[in-house]
Amino acid sequence: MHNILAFGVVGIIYGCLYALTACGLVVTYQTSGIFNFAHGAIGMFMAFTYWQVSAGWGVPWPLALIIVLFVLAPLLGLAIERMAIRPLYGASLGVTLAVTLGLLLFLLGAADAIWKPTITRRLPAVLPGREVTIASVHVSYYEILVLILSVAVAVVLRVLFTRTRAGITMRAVVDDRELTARSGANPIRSAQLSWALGASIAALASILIAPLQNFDQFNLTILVVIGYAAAVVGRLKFLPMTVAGAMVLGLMQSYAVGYLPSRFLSDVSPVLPMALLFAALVVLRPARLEAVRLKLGRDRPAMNLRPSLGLAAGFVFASYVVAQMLSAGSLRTFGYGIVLGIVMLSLVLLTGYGGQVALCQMTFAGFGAYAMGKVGGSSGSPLGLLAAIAFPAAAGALLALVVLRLRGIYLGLSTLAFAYAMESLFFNHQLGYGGNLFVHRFLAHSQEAFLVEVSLVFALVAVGVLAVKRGQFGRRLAAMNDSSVACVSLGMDVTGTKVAAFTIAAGIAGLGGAMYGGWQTIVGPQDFFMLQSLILLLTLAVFGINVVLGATAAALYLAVAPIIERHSGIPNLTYLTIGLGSILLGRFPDGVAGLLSSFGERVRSLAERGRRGPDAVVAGEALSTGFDLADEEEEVEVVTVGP
Amino acid sequence: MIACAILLVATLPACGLRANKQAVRAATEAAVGRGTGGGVGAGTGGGTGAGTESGLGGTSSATGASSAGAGTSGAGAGSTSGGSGVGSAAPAGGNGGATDIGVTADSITVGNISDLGGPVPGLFAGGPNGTQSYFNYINSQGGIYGRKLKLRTADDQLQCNQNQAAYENMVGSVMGFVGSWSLYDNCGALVLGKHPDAFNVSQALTADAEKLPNTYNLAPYGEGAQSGPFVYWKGKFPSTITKVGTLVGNVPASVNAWNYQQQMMETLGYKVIYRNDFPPAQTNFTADVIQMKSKGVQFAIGTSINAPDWAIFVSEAAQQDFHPQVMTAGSAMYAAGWIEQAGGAKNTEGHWFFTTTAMFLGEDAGTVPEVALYAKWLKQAYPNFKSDLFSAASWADAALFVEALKKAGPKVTRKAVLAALGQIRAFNDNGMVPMQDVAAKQPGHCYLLLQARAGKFVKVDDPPVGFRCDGIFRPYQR
Repeated sequence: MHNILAFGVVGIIYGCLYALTACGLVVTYQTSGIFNFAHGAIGMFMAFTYWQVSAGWGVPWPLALIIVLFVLAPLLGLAIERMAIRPLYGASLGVTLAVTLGLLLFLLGAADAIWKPTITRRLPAVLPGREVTIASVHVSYYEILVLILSVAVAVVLRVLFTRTRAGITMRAVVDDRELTARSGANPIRSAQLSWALGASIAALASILIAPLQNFDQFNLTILVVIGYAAAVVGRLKFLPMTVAGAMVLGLMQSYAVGYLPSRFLSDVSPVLPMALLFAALVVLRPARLEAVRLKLGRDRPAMNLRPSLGLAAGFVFASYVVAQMLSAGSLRTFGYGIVLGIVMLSLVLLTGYGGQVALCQMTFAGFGAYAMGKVGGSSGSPLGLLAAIAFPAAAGALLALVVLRLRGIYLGLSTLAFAYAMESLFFNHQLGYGGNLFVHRFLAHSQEAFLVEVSLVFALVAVGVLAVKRGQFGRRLAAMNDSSVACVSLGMDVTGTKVAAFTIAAGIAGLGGAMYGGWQTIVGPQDFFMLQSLILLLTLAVFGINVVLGATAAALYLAVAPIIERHSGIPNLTYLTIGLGSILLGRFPDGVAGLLSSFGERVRSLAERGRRGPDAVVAGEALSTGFDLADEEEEVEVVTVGP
Repeated sequence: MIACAILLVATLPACGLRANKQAVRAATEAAVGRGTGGGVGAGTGGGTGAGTESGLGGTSSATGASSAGAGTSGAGAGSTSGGSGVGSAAPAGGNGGATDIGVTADSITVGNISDLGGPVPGLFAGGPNGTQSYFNYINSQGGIYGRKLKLRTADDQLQCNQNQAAYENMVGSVMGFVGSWSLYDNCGALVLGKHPDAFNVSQALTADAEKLPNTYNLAPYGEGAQSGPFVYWKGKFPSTITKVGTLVGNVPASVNAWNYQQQMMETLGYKVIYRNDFPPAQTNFTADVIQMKSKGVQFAIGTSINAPDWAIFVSEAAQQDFHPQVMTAGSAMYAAGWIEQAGGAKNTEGHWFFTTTAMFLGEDAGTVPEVALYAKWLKQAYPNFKSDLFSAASWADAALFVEALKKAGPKVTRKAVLAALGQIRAFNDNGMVPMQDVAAKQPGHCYLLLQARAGKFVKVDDPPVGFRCDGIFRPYQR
């Protein structure tokens, strides 16, 4: 009994930490409609700013706290809203995810650059040395303060959003921006307020949490991932349920340590937050069934078979030429980009065409590498390659069946939970002794020959993905992307389409993983961590997630940029462009490929003008303008069905 | 928008999030911790014999033999095992000029590939820093046979393919590699394996890198653990050894390192009654403290956990009045600022540590001149860099390389350096590290026992100069 109470007390303390992070996440989502992956990073940055002001510059901690929470954090929130978020209103989920992820990386990089991570820092102690004993657990005054503030923050926020005009307006803006504006409210002002508030809450959470754990950029940023589970229990909407979810999670973790046998504890403990997240997503009924909210760009038809085969052959030939020209080191870098491109093609099909947000493609790639390594043996047998496709495909089908009812951000989070769980449950255990697995190459063995092979695989998969888009399945994917509700009402088999999309995409990712493993010859768990999938999504989004050209451009970029970077001496050129691109996504959601395509169309139009003459062109332009206006920006209204 | 882009340009680069940062740290410190519990600095297996090192430059008795008794190790100052690193001028007939790849009449260029960027910026900055500092010292003395030493550095950004690419890029233009530190050295090993003439005088963090015939270092990787400190504690605290509790970072490198250690401890009669392989994202260990207290743990050990996490554990243990008779951790905790991070003197009083280098933070500067030399040249080259295990180890590896260069003679080639490395039977860089039979490539068995007292690390039951050389290295039995 005594231990039950003791672990209970500890669990509640854990729960308060998670509640603080989760509440901020819910606030931002409720008031902006954007799931902010950078929430933890904002808090982290502010926590380090607090350290700088208090410990670094010697400002007394109460004053430093006021400056950070009520001045600097809101200013950061305002800046983020103005520069990165405002262009995103109405953007697709994929774009918003990519932008907030880019923001996460930006803040993490900024924090690393300003405050060197190899230096140990500590925040000033608050109420040091004082404690009370509850159920034989010594609880410091500070931990009690954290508990009180967690509950207070949740209560204040609930009152704010349900009882005050400002709070209600913030929520209304998300529901219907135009209607709210007509009622006299200022949507922009409201959005600014919500992001300023969100940043302050993130700052408060991180500043309170930091003294209780490693004061570390990455650690503070990633802690919010655990808070996702609590936020989802609250359906990204209800703060009391969010706090309850956080407490449940904290208690689960504490009692797991207390009562699970050691041999199970090691496996279960790491995945508890994600297990709760997954269970909450699958078991709890979403509040409303929503049609997809889109901002459709022009739907460009897929290239026909003959030209796509021609381009594919050209791509392979070009790779062969490149393979002869590059040094060994540059060749290695070049091939790495191409193998990642194969995995990105799976995202084009699943997310670009089908609108299914999947944050676990590198996990499937890892399954592929594992299968190739284990089944392919030392000769890289064809059986290994088949297993590299089949095993991930089966996993993808199973995942799709489990998350069938989920859409949008819920679907994204469930795949994220899956990826996170696989880190601990699978990759840390299965990738060979010492955490490494040798993966032998299928067919070609020399670096040059394998580059040609990898390029051929990329080209064939690209042709295949284009063929899918042209075919009936591609039309079903597009329909599902447009409106699942409409598809269901028209009698289309959305379930089968979704499962098939996940299966095929996972198989492609697995094939990419087999190539990835063969390229490096050796793989480890860190090659397939959850964050790898997020970065892949970000990179592809910058270049164009909706088109094969985007994946091709992204692959070539990852292949070439590090080489240019090394020769030019321009540091970090690779991530420079990706970072710039992520900021511009709000303005150009189709990415680089979209820009290139639009540019190409303008060039064709000008050439046509030159060929036909001005009168014919004016008439033609009037006709095409009409079509363009019809196609250009078509906003699909959100259809809400449900209680 | 533009301002944001500029800021992003300057800062995004560090964000190649290829690895969970906590996992990276845990794996690093497990790899380093193997130096105290396993490969690096662990004793050799087999035979019996007094585990002594002569204080005056005699050869180590550890060659191919275990050291079962308590032994001491001398500093070997000025001995044939020393790496005093005095420069040498070109001989009268010249040094032969460009005798091999990376060699000219005036210089020798070697490479260093370390984890410098990526998700943990500066993780192994000590690698090139320690190596360059030593080269600066040698160059100030005139170099070796009239050639100055140059270091070309590459950052693999904690990525396997980048590590491979870096080796591919450099292997054709540098003489060899010195002082590299990378968690992905197994990836680079695939490249080095195809160039057996290119020497690699660097600490290996993986078995694949260590087993290369062209890899030499002062702390060979071994799958097993040394028993010396645990024999000592068994003798001193016999009632505690059947009540061991530990926390292990749940990444393969840490888990494996602990498995080696646990097996070795169990052969001595230790019994682990609490173990939690915690996830990298776990940041609070109060529940573990309560559980250890509840189970009656009297010997708490943290050798497969990163230094910041162990500091949190120590802090929470103090808060919960959990004071096992023995609280011990590995060499990763012997670091500037760790005691403060753990809550200061009151939380760490009497805690034990063991390490396989001299006390490079400065405590040994008076008795081991090499420590003072290292501190001086490191500070001169990198005034804002804090000395760490990686820079100290790389300094020593650089000294080993220079020793081999001198033995290879003025008309130096890759092959001659490798041959020279294969003949070095006793080397300790003037007491910076325990005496090591470099050619044998067997894990050593010498260490220092430290305790935290009044907020400082102090030696306990160690010889006045040198290392303890008792215990054996017990290979892991699968």
